[in-house]
Amino acid sequence: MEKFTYSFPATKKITNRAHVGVVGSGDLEVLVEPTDDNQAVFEIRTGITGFQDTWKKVIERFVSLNDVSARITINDFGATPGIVSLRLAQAVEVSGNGKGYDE
Amino acid sequence: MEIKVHDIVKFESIAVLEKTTPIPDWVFNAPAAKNYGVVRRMPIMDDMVPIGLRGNTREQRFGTFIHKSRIVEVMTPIELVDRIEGYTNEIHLPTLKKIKQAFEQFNLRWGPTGSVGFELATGISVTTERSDIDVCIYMDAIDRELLVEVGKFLKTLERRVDVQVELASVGAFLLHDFLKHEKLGFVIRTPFGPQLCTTVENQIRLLVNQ
Repeated sequence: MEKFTYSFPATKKITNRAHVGVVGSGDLEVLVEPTDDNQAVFEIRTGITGFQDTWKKVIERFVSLNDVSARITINDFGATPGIVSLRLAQAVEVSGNGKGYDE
Repeated sequence: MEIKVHDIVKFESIAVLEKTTPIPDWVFNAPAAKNYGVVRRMPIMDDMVPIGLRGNTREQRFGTFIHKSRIVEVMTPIELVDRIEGYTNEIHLPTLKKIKQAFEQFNLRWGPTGSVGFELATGISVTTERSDIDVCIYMDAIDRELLVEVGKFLKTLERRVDVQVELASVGAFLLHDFLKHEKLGFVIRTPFGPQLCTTVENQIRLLVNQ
């Protein structure tokens, strides 16, 4: 089990908590909790070690697209970067701060 | 024969694989990687089959390609069901037997995948006692009532079983994700990448992030 944390400055407050994703092969759980400290703090727990560089890139990309002051907890079960990005976008959407889906 | 995601392919040696990306050192020392690969979810173009090799740990996975003509044998998850009776792995056998019995009653097309499927196909030991049991269910269209029943059955098992539902010509989703998030949005994995979706009248509707 590997655990690491990243923090980025943030300006936008969010209103709702969100919990998306599932415990299961190739997926992950994402929990988003609003915070007041103008930071996006990511805590990642994963059973697959040695991919910290990839995680950093995926999170940085997410932060470049989303400005949210929140604590974001990720429990990973071997998701691909594509699934991780999708779940993060979904979590922000569910928290009421996403850009919205279009059919 | 059509080669599909999850199928296990046998080849003569690592030397026959396409030389597209450098092969990591561990591949040369991993018994599981020597002659077998698992077909990955990607389009097959010009007979180039995307496969993944397994190493000794979860971190050791190598995605590569093999030309169809270099494949000497293909084993599908559905074919592996017949091997369950002869499976010698005492840790996973009891659960697999229960799944087999129940899924036959449900009249499902299914098969073991993941580490258990790999062991059944190759005889090479890759599971541990902590390994999840991965299985795949094949459906032509979403049958929600049946999937709900399957979900209830899975809860009666002591071991964790991850069920992936393969929808013909669309892709696959995790049963657990579908049952929990059908309306909120679940992930369907397609040959062109994962997509968030919901269902409308048992049909997949893709959600596109703006």
